[in-house]
Amino acid sequence: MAARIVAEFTKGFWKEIAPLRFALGICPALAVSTKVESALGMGMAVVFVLCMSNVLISAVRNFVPDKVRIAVFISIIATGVVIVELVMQAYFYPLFLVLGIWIPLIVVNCIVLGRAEAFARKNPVILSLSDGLGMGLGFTLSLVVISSLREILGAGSWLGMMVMPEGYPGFGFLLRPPGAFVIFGLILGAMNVISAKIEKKTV
Amino acid sequence: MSLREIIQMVLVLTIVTAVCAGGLAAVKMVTAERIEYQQIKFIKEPALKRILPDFDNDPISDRIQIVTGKDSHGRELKTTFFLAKQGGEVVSLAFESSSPGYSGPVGVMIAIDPKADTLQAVAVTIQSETPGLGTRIADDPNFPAQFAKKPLSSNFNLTSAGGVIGAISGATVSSNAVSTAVSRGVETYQAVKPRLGL
Repeated sequence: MAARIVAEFTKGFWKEIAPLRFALGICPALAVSTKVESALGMGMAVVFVLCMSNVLISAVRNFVPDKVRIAVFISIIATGVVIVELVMQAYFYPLFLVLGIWIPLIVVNCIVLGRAEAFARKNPVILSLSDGLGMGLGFTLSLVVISSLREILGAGSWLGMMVMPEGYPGFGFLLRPPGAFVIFGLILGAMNVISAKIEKKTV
Repeated sequence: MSLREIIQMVLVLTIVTAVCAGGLAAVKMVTAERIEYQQIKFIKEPALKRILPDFDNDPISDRIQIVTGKDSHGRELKTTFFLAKQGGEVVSLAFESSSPGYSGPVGVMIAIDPKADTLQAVAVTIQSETPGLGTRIADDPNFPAQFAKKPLSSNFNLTSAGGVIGAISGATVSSNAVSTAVSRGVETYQAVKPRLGL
């Protein structure tokens, strides 16, 4: 069982890392990845919603009739998202202003409903929690990698601190939406190359 | 679909939505006060900083709420007054007033010197006017400056209505919204002044 929990947790970081492997949840991954700070905030919000929805959905999985399961899932997910929104407004107001519309939009993030449908409704609570945590942190990791590249190359800073030498002109293109797609594509390419190498070794 | 199935679905949906609603209401109650403070701090403080004279306290903590009237449904309307103090003495009090503009309400923050009975300054807080035309009520510093340092007895209407405020050409409706909001605000202030206890 312990091995199974670890496996469900770690698959979210490489083998099934959601935005990069399944292209799920790439809307927020591209939109809020101009700064590492907002990427981390978004990632933490998704981790909370994903864990909460996975645990609750898994807990009620034997009572919910199949025909109304989507309505039940969405109610649970939306509740989690509104809780995040209220807490963020109360304690991290500047972050709330930056993330804005992307917080309520977590409700329709395909990763959250996807994990509910594909995993939580068929598995016990503890496995669902570990799956949610892994998938959420994997999402956060993808956002941090994308936003690090964009912030360092685009603005010359990382988490708000200057890392590039004095007088770095910046590469504004990367901070605009098309730049997000280019970075996303380059990361996908790099992942495929690395995966192919790993497979060759193991076979 | 059997009757049993239907009842089960209705029951499950009712319970789930009721629990969700209850949870949300609880979180909302716990965070409401804190959210109010944050919103004032991040949205109103910039406007407050612009219009208040020098002060050494936190006007957001030193705020008082006073019932200033009733709306059309008979509910009480409250206005929040922010007190700016210098050496423990109130040097200014600021509050928000609003009036419909060209496309939505226009809000203004008004600072009044309670001792000298003068209007110290005015700043636009919320507006959704036409960019480039109506938005000049907020972007052009010369427009709100017309209200500054005038006795409260002045007529804050536009010159076309017999007042002292010159409208921005091409943005008469927006200018009028600001001057109406200020006039209303001054009226409100005059009405509640005895109750402020200054």
